[in-house]
Amino acid sequence: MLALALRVGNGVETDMFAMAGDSFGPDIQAAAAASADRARVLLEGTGREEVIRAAHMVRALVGGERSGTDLLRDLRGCTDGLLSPQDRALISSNATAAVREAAEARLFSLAPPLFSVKDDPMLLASSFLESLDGFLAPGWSIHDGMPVMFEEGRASALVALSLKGRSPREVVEIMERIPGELPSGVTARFSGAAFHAALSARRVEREIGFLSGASLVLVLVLGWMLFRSLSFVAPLVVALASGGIAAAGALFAAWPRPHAIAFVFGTSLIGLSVDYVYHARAAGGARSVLRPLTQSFATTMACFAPLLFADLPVLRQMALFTMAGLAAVYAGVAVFGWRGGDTVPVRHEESSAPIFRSIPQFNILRVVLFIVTAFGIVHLRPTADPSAFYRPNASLAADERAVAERLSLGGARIVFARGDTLQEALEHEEDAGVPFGLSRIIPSLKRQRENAALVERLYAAEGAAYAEHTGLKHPVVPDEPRLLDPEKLPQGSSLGELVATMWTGRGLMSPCVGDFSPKDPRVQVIDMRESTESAFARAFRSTRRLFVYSSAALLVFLFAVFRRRALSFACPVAAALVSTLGMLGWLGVPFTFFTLLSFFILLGLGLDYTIFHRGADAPTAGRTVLFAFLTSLAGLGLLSFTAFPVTRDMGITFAFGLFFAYVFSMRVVKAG
Amino acid sequence: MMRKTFILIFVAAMAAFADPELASVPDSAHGTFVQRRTLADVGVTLVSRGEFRFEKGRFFEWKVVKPVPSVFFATPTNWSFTVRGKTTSHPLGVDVSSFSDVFRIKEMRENVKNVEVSPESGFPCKVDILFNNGDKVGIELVQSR
Repeated sequence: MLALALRVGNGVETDMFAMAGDSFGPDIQAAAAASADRARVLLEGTGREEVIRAAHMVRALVGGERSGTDLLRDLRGCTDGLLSPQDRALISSNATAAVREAAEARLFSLAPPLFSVKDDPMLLASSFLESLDGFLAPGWSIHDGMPVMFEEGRASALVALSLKGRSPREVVEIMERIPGELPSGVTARFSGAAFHAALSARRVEREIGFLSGASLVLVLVLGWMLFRSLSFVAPLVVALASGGIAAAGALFAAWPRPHAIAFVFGTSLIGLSVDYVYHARAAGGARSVLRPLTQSFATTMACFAPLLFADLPVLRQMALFTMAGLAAVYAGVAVFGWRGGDTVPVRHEESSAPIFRSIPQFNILRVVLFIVTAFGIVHLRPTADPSAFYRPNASLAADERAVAERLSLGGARIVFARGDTLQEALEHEEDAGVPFGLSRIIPSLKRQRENAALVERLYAAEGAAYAEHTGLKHPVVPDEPRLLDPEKLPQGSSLGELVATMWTGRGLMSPCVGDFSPKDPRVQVIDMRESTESAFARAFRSTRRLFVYSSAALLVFLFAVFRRRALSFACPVAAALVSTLGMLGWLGVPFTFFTLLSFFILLGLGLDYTIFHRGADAPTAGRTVLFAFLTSLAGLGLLSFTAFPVTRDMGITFAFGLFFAYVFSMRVVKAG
Repeated sequence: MMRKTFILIFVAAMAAFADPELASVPDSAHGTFVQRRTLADVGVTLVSRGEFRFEKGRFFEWKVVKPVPSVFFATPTNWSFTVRGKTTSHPLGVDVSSFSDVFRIKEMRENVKNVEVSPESGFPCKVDILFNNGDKVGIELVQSR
């Protein structure tokens, strides 16, 4: 409880990339984390002014307005190291006269210099800014501190947003408000992880809210049908609460920010808690069912124990959460439910429930059911394709495609220039010639010093002629060149915002356009989609291996406890798991890392049914197991009705898995 | 940034030639100019001479002949600047269909403090532009017959 109280404020991790641990690699995780609260809005229209006005409106709506002169203000006073690639090449090749003539022509032309000639005598900084046309992607340049593109009949502006600290509800409100406030003729397209996360969270929130309510009602109704009173509610709530607190406390004690998925899978605690409480109360106290209760507890612990040694942190978290919670529930039921309980009313004619009556065809039916369902395994589709566990909102997906097309982005590919510091990453970008990297806009300090030396050479060669032709003073480089340091940019500056979107803490990300292939090993092209797929494929293989270990550990335990009867306990569970896999195949449900995780829970719950069917002596055990099964089905099976593919597929797995576990574990006795 | 400054100069020039309030608005014009740019922070005035061509709604050409030859050429969608045979081109995207549109464009208001157009014989012969940073550009235009 102390750990929970101290650390719960840290919140939980929700990033999908964090779930697979080191499978993704630190660079991809850094890129994903940097993108998590970033988003973009692409505004398009026929009128240039309307689009620019719309862009300012969006900025003001999200995070305050910024003046269009920001970029000049950011650069003013630190331009001594800024050289356009053309000027740099000309000076390096001693073609200094060409640079001077271009500067003179500019001074005598219609357009004024962008910076004072005191700071920028030969208009080199002006030339540098003009060379930024197309820096983001071909055809794009900077206007009012943001990327813009103007073509015949179409104007586009891209507003980069940081949505850090905004709740999903606030983000969705922003998304809903923007279209209504745009000038006539301007449309908005939304792109970025933050928008996807917000829409998904809203959808999940609504569904979970409804399903939780429905589940609660069903639990109460089923419990009442079993006990004919509601007095089971209090001990059940106490058991769930104590289990939840113990589980969450253990998790937060071991991890400062556990992953949310561990809590989701920890809902298996609900099913297990219901089983223990129902059986204890139905039998008139835990004492009467202590042996099967203990056997169930021990087997479930044995099932989850191998996960404590998993490579993936999320599996270790899942195991700790379930084991700690279950231990608390077991201790609570065993100690406080020692005596007393509702007992299950038994109607004489039912004896130990009609399901225990012999149905001659029942075994045959079960065998046929097993064979038919198991055949579905040939259709089973193991996959690590991200589209199997996340399907974006259709409108948002269309917007993403439109933005990618406008920015000429190379699919899900980014260029990643590694660096321990921002300056190091900038240097690596420059060495590798990254075409649309941050270094194009903010050269590294090392490059700027080189540029300042080149400018000194230019002034020495052409300064006298320049002064004679223009009437200006002979230009000189200051003793200490004033350089542009991105880490000293003022808060809220447009350049600062740009740096924040590209610097991940481990390196710089930039769009990968065309077939750019860096030769420098410190710079790589990452395909986020491919990386996600291969990381989850590795996670799947690792988890599958652990499942085998868990099953083996369980089998060993069963033999230790039940000896020759071990197989009679193991077979129903094994058959249930095979049938469940088959049903996934028949239904075309993708067999992913997440559905595989569900099987760990089915292993534990399924064995419970067998143990209580076979191990409990109470005449009402069968009826109690039935209602425990129905209650778990109500809790976990309802997930099948969520729109989120991960939870929906898990719900389908639970629904069929619980059903088969129950049916195959039923004990059939001869009537009479 | 270059685009912004060229836009404002271009539209100022277009406006000067496209003012519907003038007695006779030329649809096209060509001639010579003398431009005096005064850089306020260094107190230096740069004088250039050249030729201009204008066709309303189609193009505007500003060709400096002395002291350093260059050509600025703009259409409503693109502009280019040529020095010693080397040309750089950029999109422009300016919508100016009338004189009054000019003052709605943000760039004008941001950087230009004042524009005075003195028409004689229905043709603007003098344009004075005062920038916010104190720089001034004075242009004398002579239309060719």
